[in-house]
Amino acid sequence: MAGERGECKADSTARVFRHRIEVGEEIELIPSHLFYLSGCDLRCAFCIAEERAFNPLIGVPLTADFLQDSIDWGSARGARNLQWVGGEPTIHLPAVLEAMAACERLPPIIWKSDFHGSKAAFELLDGIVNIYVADFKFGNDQCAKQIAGIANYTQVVTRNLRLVTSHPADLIVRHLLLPGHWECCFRPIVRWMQTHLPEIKFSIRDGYLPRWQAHRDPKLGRYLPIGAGDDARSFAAAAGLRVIQ
Amino acid sequence: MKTADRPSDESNLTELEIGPDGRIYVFGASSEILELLDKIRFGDNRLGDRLQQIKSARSGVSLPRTKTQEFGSAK
Repeated sequence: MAGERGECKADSTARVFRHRIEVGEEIELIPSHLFYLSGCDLRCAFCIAEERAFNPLIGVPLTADFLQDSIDWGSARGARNLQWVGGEPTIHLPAVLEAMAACERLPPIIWKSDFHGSKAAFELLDGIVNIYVADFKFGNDQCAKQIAGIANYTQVVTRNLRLVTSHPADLIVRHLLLPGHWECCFRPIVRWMQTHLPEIKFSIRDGYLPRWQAHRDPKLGRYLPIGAGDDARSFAAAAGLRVIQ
Repeated sequence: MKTADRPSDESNLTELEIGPDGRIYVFGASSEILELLDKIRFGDNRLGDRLQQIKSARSGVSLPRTKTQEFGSAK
């Protein structure tokens, strides 16, 4: 695959543009050592990481030595796990697997993903990942196309969500509330979860900020209304979902 | 400089953004910042659970490795 580039523009080298211990994730995951890989297959208009998420040439190359040093650094500071984030880590799967395979001391692995990868990619993660954190961003293909520039979104994401439930791993489905997308995105996602994955942990994030190109969209250019997160959590809980903080 | 330190320039950086209505958004929060926000009565009652989890992690509680086990304190 060397030299070939897909839509994400990444090559065979994964690059880390930031790694740090964070405590803002779901409570059961913290303190978590996050490794941010540059490059992404989506182009979400509201992306908070902006260029660093999209440009796969930003950061230091991921090597086994770098990863082991970093893991030890995080463990010494209380990190309970290693979390791959992006951008999108799945576009760098070969490099990540190679680096982890060469490490002697690995903590539990969290794979935080947009879940818009291939079926083969997620099959490769079977038995490797301890916890998946799936960003279920859009409740329909039209919003996915308009906001993130991708087609066939819901079919791919829901296929992968169902696939990883057969893995020996935990799964947290996360949804970032988007202003003006309650009816078209949030409610359809709740309905899908209610029908297909009612036992799976569901995390609603309400820290949306109108960053990057969000100001170009009259709905995305706003902040969420006060109380939107609590309203959404109540709605999902009433639907029978297993809402977590 | 150790290789692991090179991209860690933001390891101790917490981003705070104050919205036009006064809401404060916190990204990349460190435990020290959460403790500070808790002390100044930030107004988010979820901070307590989060801080408790950090304390339990410091005491050595670790994540299990299979989906059949519950983990953490978020029940």
